[in-house]
Amino acid sequence: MTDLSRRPVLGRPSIASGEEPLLRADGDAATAGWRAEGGSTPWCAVRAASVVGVRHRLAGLGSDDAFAWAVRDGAVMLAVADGVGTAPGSAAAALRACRAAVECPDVAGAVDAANRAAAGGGATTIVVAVVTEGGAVELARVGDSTGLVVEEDGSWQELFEPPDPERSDRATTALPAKDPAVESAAARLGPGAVLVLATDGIADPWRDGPTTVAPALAAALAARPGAPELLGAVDFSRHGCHDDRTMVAAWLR
Amino acid sequence: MTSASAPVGVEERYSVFPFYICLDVSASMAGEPIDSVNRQMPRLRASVGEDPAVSEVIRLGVVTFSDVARSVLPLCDLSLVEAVPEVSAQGRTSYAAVFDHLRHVIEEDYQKSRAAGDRWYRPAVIFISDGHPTDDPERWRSALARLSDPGWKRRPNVLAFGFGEADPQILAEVAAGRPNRAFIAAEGAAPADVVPELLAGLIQSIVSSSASVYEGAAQLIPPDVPSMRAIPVDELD
Repeated sequence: MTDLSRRPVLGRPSIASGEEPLLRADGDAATAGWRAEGGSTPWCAVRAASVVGVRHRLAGLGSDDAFAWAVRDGAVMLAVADGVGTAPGSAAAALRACRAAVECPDVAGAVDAANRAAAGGGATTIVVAVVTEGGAVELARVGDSTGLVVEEDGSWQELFEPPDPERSDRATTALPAKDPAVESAAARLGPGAVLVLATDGIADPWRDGPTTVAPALAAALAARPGAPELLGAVDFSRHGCHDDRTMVAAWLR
Repeated sequence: MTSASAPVGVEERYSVFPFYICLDVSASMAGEPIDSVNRQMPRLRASVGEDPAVSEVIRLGVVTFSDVARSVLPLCDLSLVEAVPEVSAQGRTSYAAVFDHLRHVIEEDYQKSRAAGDRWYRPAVIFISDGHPTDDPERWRSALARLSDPGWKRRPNVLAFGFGEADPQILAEVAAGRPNRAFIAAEGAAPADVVPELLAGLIQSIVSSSASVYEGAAQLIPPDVPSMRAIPVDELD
């Protein structure tokens, strides 16, 4: 994973190679260099892949991304968050937000809980999803982390409005906020489809790489990967793509 | 918004933040000031060019101006550059020349860049001068107006820095009269001290601005230069 020749190159190559994440003294898996996780309920499989970005590796810092899930009867709650790097304590805020969010059975409550939990230092985005046994998905988000559905044929649809390509003066909304700008979305997962929650470290190259990153990640997901395979796919090398990357994927079994 | 599997002609995109350093190389810069610039440039090249997290989102160009303006380093990815060319000082100080040059070069660079797949954040111009313009005020003001024309989509954000004989009011005009965009060296500060501090601050500013790109909201972060103070913006009555 640290050898350039083993990170798949998707698009214009990067000079980055072999950068090691900082070995943290506390071994806290929440902000580890590479995380591959997952498992299944009787009706739903979940995979998470999270990689600390090259920019943080070079600075000796950990990832600002976080994720969490919870399982209850007939529903799986998923959350992904991206701590705002300029505010100290944001990685911890992202983790608190995710953990609080997945304790709630509905997305509105989840964002509320995330907002309260994010207080106390730092700022973070959040995207949450409730997946129910029939394949119905409800989502909500604050900030630029996002959700997508990938179909079996590799086509994909982003469930939230992507950022404006004109992109000058794009402000990042984040939690905690007095009156957070919450966006909602919904989807229905068919038998071959995969739900993806992702931070912008994945979503931006996905949108910007329609002939490289998007097909590669879609193909990786369509193969119903184990968590290590998904991690390998997410740790691709691409010019300028040095942000933390986190993806949580779910599909119906 | 829906995106199916990639239709024909859909382009790959890479976001970049262009920085143009515009350096006065008129005769008054000869000696310690210009030597200082030449000593600092390798440091700039290393800090920006050897860090992929910076070099792959920043594009850097260096323009010098005295009687004429010249691109001594065309806008580029610094990791692909072995050394920044050395500069020498002579001649008068034409602000019109550099503003006209920038107006032309920025648009040309944008078109080339876009055709190659880059998406631009609004470019930054770092304007550094040690004297007042020797050309006709009408000429440089109209050239500045073309550079800062709000109707031009690639209109840059300008930070202006002055020392020696530079005129604070003119620098404020160059920086479009916005607060915290024009800076003048403190009274009595020697160019020999100011220039290295300014260039070190510039390196930091470029690195911080590149970091802001990863935070989802690109910002031009002005350098912190201890021996310079921000030129106050006047109130209209």
